[in-house]
Amino acid sequence: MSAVITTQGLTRAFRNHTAVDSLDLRVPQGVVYGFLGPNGSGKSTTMKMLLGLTRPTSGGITLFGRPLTPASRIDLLRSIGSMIEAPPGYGHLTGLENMRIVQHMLDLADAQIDKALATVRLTAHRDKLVRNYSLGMKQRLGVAMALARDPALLVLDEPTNGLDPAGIEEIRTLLVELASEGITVMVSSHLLDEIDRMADVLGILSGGKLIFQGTRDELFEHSTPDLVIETPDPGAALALGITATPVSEGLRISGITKERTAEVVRRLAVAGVPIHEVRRVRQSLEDVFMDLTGRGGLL
Amino acid sequence: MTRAVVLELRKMRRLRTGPIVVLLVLAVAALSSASQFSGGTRETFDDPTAAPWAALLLTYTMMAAMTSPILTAVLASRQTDIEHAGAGWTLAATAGYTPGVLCRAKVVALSLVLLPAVALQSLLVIGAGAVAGIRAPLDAGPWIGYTTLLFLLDVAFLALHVWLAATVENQLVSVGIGMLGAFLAAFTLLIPSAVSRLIPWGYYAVIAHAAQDGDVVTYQTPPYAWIAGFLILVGAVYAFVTRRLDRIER
Repeated sequence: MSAVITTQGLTRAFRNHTAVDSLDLRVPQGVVYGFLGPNGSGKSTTMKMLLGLTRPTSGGITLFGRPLTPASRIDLLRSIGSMIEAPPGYGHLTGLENMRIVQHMLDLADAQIDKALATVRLTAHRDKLVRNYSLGMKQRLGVAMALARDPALLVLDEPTNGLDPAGIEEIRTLLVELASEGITVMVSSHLLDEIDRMADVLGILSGGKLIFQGTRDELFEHSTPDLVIETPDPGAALALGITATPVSEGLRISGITKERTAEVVRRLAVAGVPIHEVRRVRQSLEDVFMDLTGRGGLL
Repeated sequence: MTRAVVLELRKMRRLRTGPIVVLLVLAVAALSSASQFSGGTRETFDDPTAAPWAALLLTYTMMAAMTSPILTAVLASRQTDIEHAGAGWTLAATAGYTPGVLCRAKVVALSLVLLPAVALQSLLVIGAGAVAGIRAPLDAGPWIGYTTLLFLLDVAFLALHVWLAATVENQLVSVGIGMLGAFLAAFTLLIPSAVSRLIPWGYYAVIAHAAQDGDVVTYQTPPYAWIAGFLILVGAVYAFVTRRLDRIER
């Protein structure tokens, strides 16, 4: 699958900290790419660099196979719809008037504006002042503004921020639909649950570094779930010098490999400690994520 | 640039720019001409040597100096604050319009509103003078000269306030400086022109085409070279600072 976005050693350093550190992103075409990370992990800075709004300290960005440079930026941006940080929208204008501003900026046809409003289901509210929109409607207007140019790539920074569960589901459904139409969607969030059910590929950022990039299944492969040994006599097991945490069913051991598991079971059996069951704990994606990011403020 | 200016005119809808301008124009015209209806002033209306039009122009100059800095600050602030509130800087940047382009377009768009407003304001003051009964012939030159320079000075201060409003998100700063400027502008009418030239808002006094010497009001020629120098300096500085705005990462 060809990549729409690739970055090479992308770095952005500020005076006293490095917000983004040597990022090598690869966003394949036609997928929903979930860009995850705790608050302050560098997601917004990365997205701003991808749109040419922030200059990298070092490293390079390639979009649609072309290097992003000051000269190529305007041409590349014609194919990229975006919503960074807060949803845009002039409160004193109606939804339609805001869309007309975008239309005039980008020299778009009326049909493109109508289609974008219909896609986000705002046609019925297009004559309402944006200041009277709910947060969800503002977010959808922001997405409509991003969609109006018929983009090949959508870059959305926390598009579900502040939405209620119904609003989150609505945006999620919309993004999946857009991806099914061939649009590549890069969406950031610090909420794992939002991304989990729509992203085909995940990129996880922590402290400015990309600590994982791949599919959900690949992410699970990266993690070693805890081992639970069900025994009525955990004290006897601990007396053997096995490093474990006593739990109600017996013992729980973290980060243990298959080989070490075999060794522990052998020692328990030789010592005559009764073993009722040995199993791996079933991990949620959130557990994996927490392990990877070191529980850095994720919800 | 033309497209950016049209965008700014579109954004003006419901910002009440028109009503604010009309209100200030009417207020300035009314305050400038109020004294024309007093008995003492009316006695001079038939006497060309008393220069009733020059006296009216001087009153107008004072009222315009007191209100124009506030008007420009309010207009610039309203037109620029919408970009902070509506994430407009980022929206425009992703469409290829840098903050510097937006700021320059805002000044042009607001100038297009101010041009007829300032002209109308001067015509209203003249009209009030005529209605009040000034029979002496109107000296068009000083009135046209003053109106032109007042407009150009307003454009210069629009530029200052658009830049301030774009740079400092709290709009109280821009409007507060406008109010301080109004005080300075009125104050500089009372001090020597040589000192006024050193104060930006002092140019509202420097452009005066009428002056009072004792009880006598006469027309005067303002120092055009200083005024031109000030306007060119403002233009150059504005071009420089708006280019710098393009490099600010929000």
